[in-house]
Amino acid sequence: MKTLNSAALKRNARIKMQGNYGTLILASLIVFGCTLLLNVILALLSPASSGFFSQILYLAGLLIVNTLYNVLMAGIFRLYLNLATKQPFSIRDIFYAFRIHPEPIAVYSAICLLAEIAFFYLLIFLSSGMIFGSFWLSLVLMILVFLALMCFLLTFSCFLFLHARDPWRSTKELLTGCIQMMNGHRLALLWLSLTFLGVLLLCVLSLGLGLLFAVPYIQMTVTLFYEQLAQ
Amino acid sequence: MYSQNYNQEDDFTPRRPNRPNGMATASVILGIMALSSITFPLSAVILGALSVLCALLSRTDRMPKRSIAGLILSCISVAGSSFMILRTVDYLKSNPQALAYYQEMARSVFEEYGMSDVYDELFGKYDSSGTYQLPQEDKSKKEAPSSGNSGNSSGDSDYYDSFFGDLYRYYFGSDTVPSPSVPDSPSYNISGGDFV
Repeated sequence: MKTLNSAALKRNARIKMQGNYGTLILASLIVFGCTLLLNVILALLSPASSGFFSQILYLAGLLIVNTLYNVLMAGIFRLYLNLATKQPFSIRDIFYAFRIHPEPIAVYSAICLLAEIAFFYLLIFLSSGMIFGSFWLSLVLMILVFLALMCFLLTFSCFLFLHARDPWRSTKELLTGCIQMMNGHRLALLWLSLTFLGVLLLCVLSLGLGLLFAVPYIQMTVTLFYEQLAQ
Repeated sequence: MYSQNYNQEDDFTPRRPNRPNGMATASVILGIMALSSITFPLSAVILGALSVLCALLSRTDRMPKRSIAGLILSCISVAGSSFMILRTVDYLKSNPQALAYYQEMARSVFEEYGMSDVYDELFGKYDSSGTYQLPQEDKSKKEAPSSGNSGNSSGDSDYYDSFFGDLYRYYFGSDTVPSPSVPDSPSYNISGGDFV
């Protein structure tokens, strides 16, 4: 098993980013702006009624927005990967997945959306307590469902990274690659994410302005984490 | 073209080790700005947090001296502004007249943006006749107004003198400044917007 020291990963991330903050911040702002715009459009177009077809239409819109967001995020991974491996990089890297084999990303977005909806409704069902009656049994089941959701998200979080690394792999290969790569490293990724809580607290204190620097830093560290696992 | 070889070993060495560390410079500049805005606690905290973040991001093997300077400046500014906030809260707790004055200022801001009803809902400091409700101990003074405070501008000015004189004495001791004449506690008329 590889040893993944979060402090070393962060140090490497800071070294890699020296002198390149401008490009990385601009890329983050572009993705943020596009996502915000898409969500505003989705909110404006969402139907007021709560009928079945309205809900289906809303879910379709949500799927499109999620797919576009994931395509841009794959581009972000591509940009950071190029920077991490000393390849030539530019801001255009974030749009690479629109040109190169975006189908697996669409499938991945659909899988994620369906899984999240399923887990969400399962949690609501368990929290209602109508079936099991017992509060403690419902609570234990809710915790189990939450842990399963976390496990799912941690396992497949590297999908976009793997796509950025080799865009021509099929969806099945990418999903299998995710499971193989993250096997035994989910807790390491969770711990790495938790170590950013201090930085995020500083971002809160700076009313979100710190996110301009913190988001590229976190993204670069996670990219190096995946890259080290992938090697 | 797009399947690049990412499997090369990487030694993670800086590409340009002699390049000036921009984050360290940003940290010290933000630290100076935070220190200079110490009397505006919100901006001091925001700039201080940004300065600390930049200092943390500037670290490679060890923290540059400029980052350390930025870190110290931002810590001083955050601590100083926190001290000022705590002292001001303490002062307002012990001086209901000053608290009423601050509430009046806040209400005028709300009123400027057409949100006076929101303020009234939040704080509810006006009675049905539109008179500002001063704290209980000042009501006796309000009932017997002195002759010098009948004009709007002079009453306002005296109120300022009284308030800032009190604040100055609270911070720096009672014997260092000439004590201003303490005016009667003014009541406030919503409709007119002036001290009466």
